[in-house]
Amino acid sequence: MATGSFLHLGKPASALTQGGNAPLNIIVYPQSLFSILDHTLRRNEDQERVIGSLLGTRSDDGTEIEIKSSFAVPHVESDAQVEIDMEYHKTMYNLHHKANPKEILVGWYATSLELNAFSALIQNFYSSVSDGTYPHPAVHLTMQADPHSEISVQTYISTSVGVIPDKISESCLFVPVPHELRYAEAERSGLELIATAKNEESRETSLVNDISNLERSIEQVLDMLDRVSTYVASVIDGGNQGSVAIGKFLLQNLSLAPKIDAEELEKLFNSHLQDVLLVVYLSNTIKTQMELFNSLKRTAVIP
Amino acid sequence: MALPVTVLPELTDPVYSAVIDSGVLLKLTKHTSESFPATVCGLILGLDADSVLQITHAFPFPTESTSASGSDDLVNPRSKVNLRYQADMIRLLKEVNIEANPVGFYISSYLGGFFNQALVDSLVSFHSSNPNTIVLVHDVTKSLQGTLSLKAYRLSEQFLAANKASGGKFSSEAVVKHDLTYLDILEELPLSIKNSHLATTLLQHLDSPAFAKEEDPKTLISSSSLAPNFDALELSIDPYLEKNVEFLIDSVDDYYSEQGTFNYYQRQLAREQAKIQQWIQKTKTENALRERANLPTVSEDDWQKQFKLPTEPSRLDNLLISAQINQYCNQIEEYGSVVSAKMFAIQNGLDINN
Repeated sequence: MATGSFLHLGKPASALTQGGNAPLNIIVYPQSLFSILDHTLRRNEDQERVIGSLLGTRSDDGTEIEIKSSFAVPHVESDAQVEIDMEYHKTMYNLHHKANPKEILVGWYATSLELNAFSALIQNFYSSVSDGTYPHPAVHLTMQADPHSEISVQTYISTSVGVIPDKISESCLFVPVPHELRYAEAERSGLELIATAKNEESRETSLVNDISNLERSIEQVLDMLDRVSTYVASVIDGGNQGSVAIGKFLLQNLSLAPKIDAEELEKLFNSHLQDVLLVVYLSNTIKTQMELFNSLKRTAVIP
Repeated sequence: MALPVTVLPELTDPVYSAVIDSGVLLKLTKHTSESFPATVCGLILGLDADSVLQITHAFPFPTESTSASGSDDLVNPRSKVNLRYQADMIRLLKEVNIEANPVGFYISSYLGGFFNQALVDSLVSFHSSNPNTIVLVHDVTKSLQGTLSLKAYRLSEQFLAANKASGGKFSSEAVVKHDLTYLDILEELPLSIKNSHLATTLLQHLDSPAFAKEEDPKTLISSSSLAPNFDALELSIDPYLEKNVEFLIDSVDDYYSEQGTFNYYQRQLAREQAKIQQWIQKTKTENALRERANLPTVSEDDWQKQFKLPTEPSRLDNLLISAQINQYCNQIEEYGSVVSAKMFAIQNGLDINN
């Protein structure tokens, strides 16, 4: 998803001036992106970009960083200077840390792709010794959140290589780091639901129950089977050049179908089905009994 | 345990449905599923406008169990620690233009077991400051199976009336008079999810083909990383049913022990009443004798001085347990229909194959 391509090399530890291992891969969870967008919507009228802190976890060797959540930090930016409410950041971080003890500060975000002197200044703060991520480098995530253009995300870390010694506090070298989006298992169902609204004009969706979800899944499977059969048919007819990768993949999946004796299967299925139905029946009985109890109680109180 | 008696503000503009922002939904599911299977809670902030409650922000409450007050504190959004945390957090959120208006709280639940005294207590407590308070219940077990299960509830009017009338004691009389049954302690509100324009853009971007990794045959199957998963087709059905039945049985046990307490009360009451009747009879005959002897009579209503009727245990426990049983039964039923559909589908499929 990166707009420009770049080659990322893990440097040997000795080359790093900051001591900690530089992250080679950054994993972004969608939840943090949504909250950055929410922050963008709530920015002050004249503000062009907003910034905030990124929280998450760092793997033991420091090569992998997971960005799990974020919070907004108020800041004022003018042509001449930038002012960040660091007190706010500290209090908020402490509060956040109480609720999510596993998440630590990993960096910061800004909602513009531009990197300027102010970025360097903020970056140096976030990777500072006192309140920053030292000895690990801070991650800087930039997100294009302008409604006119497509959303894009970039992640950087900084090195102090190649900076001008006179302006050490306001210069640094941003090195792009690859990042990927990842969903946690339990988040998936929520994300999917949100995604169903993406083509709706009202931008709204409602929650579905189990049975309609099943229906949707089955329809999708049928749809995919159709696509595969059309593809296979076209390859057999010779109208389409077959791909070896797809062929192997299909064969692999076909071999997963279990071979069970029909009678055995019938028996297994029936007994299982009966179990399920029995449980449903019993729970129904309990429900009816509750209703009955309830009605009796009423008549007992009101003679 | 008696509920605190609160002066309830009149419902001026009742809320009929709730809309949750997609970002809040993700935040909430992240918190609840990360701490699963522990039950956690958090605060939701938002606005109510035109009978629609808009949930625009949420934050989790700290989960530390180091406080001496024990594990009960964990799921109590009104504990002292949490109230302080809430005040701190809201003060900070105001600075970044977030609506600092608490509209309720969210909790995670394990297999829909959320009907308990603590929940009702918290809701009543919230209700006293904001009559449009709701609670969002996220069933993590169910969400892990592929269908997000998030429900919005608020206290029903019947419950509030009964609570007010009986001073939080829930006597049989108040419960019946206000038509409160176990089915309507909580009232479910329709809940929908809304994306902001920017969130829509992000989703479109994630869905665009440029984002998918190339050269991987798997991407040829599902064109988008956000395509629905197929967890709904999962066939391992036993664990869920087993757990559900297990909980159901526990609840039924609770119900019987509660019933036992109530029966005990009724026997006690009957015994006392028999004693009172005896006493009244005795006073009557004595009074008749006294009248003949021109002595002052004893009032027949004086039994109240002599005897004390046992206090009725709160019927709320019974209602809550009943509601819980009902919830488990509904879950089993719903699950049963899905499972049988799956089973028949597969049986048919395999019959054709063989």
